[in-house]
Amino acid sequence: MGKHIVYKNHCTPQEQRIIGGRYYLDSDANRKLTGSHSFELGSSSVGTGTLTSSGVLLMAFGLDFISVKVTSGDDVTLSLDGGTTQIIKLKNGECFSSKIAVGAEPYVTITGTSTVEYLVGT
Amino acid sequence: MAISRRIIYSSYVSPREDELSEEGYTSQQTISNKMAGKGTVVINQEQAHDGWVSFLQPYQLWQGATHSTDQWESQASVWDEGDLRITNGSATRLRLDTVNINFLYIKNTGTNEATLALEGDEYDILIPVGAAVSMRVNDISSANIKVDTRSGTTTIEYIIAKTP
Repeated sequence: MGKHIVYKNHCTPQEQRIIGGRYYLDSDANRKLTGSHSFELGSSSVGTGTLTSSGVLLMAFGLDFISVKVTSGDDVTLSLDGGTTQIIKLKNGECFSSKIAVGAEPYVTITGTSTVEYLVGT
Repeated sequence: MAISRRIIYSSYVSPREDELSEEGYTSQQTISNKMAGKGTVVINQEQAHDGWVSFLQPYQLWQGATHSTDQWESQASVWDEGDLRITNGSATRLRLDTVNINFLYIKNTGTNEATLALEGDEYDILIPVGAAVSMRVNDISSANIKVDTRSGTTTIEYIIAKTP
């Protein structure tokens, strides 16, 4: 009982064997991959927001879960150390979702014209 | 032999709250906007390292097998699911060659929470049991990508793909 965030991450590796041919399931992986989890919020709550310039997600510290999506514009990068190391790149339409450590400092860097929507568990 | 490789990835998030009806049934209500996204990452067609995926596919060792010494009954490992065991404090690198990485997928298939560092020793990403993370990595060196656990041991399956 209570509040929780259900999240799922998937990927499908593919390979092309002839020029102009169709893509098949990658023969090294041989499968589609998926994982899901229900993150219990406990006394925490859910927050949402939008960024159109570089900045932190709602607050710099104390987030337990983040989901970041580029809803329009150019590529953006995401760091978890306050903007020092850009470790994840997101293109338009892409979304990154994960539980994060308490000490992480999620920071989105927008260099062009982009809109980023996010959801956090605090 | 692949002439091109790509990975389609997606993420879906739904914040919910359980509600108990008068009849005793539990239902789930959405308490915030759902979030979802999808993308395609072009990776290097030649990964140059069998360990770019944790799965050991059937036939993987055909080219290395010899008729006289390698027999099917002694090659059971190639049919394994290929999960990697992680022990707390081990700081395990997923790829032993040093190349730039532009896609990473990890699923925790074990029994303890896994942790992921993309910048050396900062384990900022947590992967609970059953959960997975998939992401377009910003050309991070494979030397900086490490996995650990918060306690005990767990197992993971993964894809760690080299940048084109």
